[in-house]
Amino acid sequence: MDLELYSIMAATVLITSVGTVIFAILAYVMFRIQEGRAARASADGGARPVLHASKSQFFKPYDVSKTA
Amino acid sequence: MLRRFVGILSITGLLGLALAVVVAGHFSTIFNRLEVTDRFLEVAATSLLLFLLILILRYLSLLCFSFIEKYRTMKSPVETTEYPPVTLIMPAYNEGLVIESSIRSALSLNYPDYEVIVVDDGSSDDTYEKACAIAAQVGRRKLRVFTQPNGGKATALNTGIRYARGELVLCTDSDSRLDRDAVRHMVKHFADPGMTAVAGNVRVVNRRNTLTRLQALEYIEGLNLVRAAQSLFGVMTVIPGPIGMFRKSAVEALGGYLFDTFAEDCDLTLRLMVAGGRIRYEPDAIAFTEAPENTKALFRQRYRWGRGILQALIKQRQELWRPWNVRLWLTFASLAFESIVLPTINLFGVVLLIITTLGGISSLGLLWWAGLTALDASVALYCVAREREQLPLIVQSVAYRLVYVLFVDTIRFFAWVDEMFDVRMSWMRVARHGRI
Repeated sequence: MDLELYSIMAATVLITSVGTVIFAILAYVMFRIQEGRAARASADGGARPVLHASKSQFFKPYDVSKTA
Repeated sequence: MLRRFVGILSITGLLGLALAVVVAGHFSTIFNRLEVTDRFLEVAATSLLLFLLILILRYLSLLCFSFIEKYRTMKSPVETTEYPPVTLIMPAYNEGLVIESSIRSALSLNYPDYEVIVVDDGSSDDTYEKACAIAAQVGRRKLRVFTQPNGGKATALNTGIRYARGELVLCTDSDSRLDRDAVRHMVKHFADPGMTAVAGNVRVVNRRNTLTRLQALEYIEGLNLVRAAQSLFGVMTVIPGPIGMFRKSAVEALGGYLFDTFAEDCDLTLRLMVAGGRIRYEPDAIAFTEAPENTKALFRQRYRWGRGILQALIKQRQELWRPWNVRLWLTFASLAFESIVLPTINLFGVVLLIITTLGGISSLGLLWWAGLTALDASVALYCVAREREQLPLIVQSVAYRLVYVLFVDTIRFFAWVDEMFDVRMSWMRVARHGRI
């Protein structure tokens, strides 16, 4: 009986752990699909902010169009 | 009072560690009794035991260092009678839902001399108009609002720093709320002229479901505990975006926030450390922030953090070769361990769990998980006592190790892989619900 409980608990831990990793992998696949679509939409003219490596603009004048 | 508090912390910490060591010992005994003949299986089981010991050692170090830091600050608290002018900088991009309450909250802090600067980063909603309406009511001496074409959070923060009147600048998010005494608690550290920056304590405010409660536990156990331990050595790996105070001249000397990484806060922190700055953690300076409420939003946030931290770390890799800079080495070692080694161990642990189970020694896997959960629960108890947090958070420890940590670490893994292959990504703003 004890052994059975032990086995059930061990199986639960294993299944939950593996299940979580599989869920995260699926989430990543979905994410890549969405990013791919967004990139295509961006190429078609849709505006999405994309990071580009560049130097600091700290000392450059900012285009502060309006202030209050 | 001090003695009692320190006593509670010591007992909870020691209790947990003793429990974890007992589990590790039990693990080792069972392993020896099993008489595993398969060499491959033996290596897998030994690795599991080794991982458990590494994690026990990690928690032991964190508990000791954070305990000494807490004791040090309680024994000889930093006091100041001077309250220099402070500028609170709040970048905002499409925060129309929360901007009014954020500004009103920022204007009601308990500090004698401060101003608020809101930088609208080219929002397409009514963020700017709403901020301007409040500025018209309270006057330009207390609140100034700037707007600029969309350029990202880093540029918005730089604009704020550029126009700040105070030598001390407090950078925050427009979706976070500061505790009324947060500024007062942070300012006192700057009485030391060598102090460059102070990191605050971030807490999750929207504890509406299991996911946000797990994040609340992660913030106090996984992030604040690490910051408290790092603070003992005057080092810091990430000054959190929701609450970080900087000496303006130090940030200006480094060229402000850069936007060549996805984690501008980690990047600036590392650059401050490389420049020889000293940074402390102030647990009483609290910012309440809105955490992602679903797995999709959490995925996007952690993916961005994962890539951003790796980018910031790689950027500074040449600094590793600078001789005899112990504090800098500590910073890099801590960041690399927490962001790369630890997630790898956790993920590799699952692989070993499968191997040992298939090899017929599933009891080891169960003990491994039990040991880690006992560790997490005891450290959570210590953190809850330390930060005077909600006791029911400890219950989350069961799901924390089994589900949450694995999910977040898998995301990190994919973030590194994508970063290594230079896969393009967008900023991926996390949706706000206006819970604050």
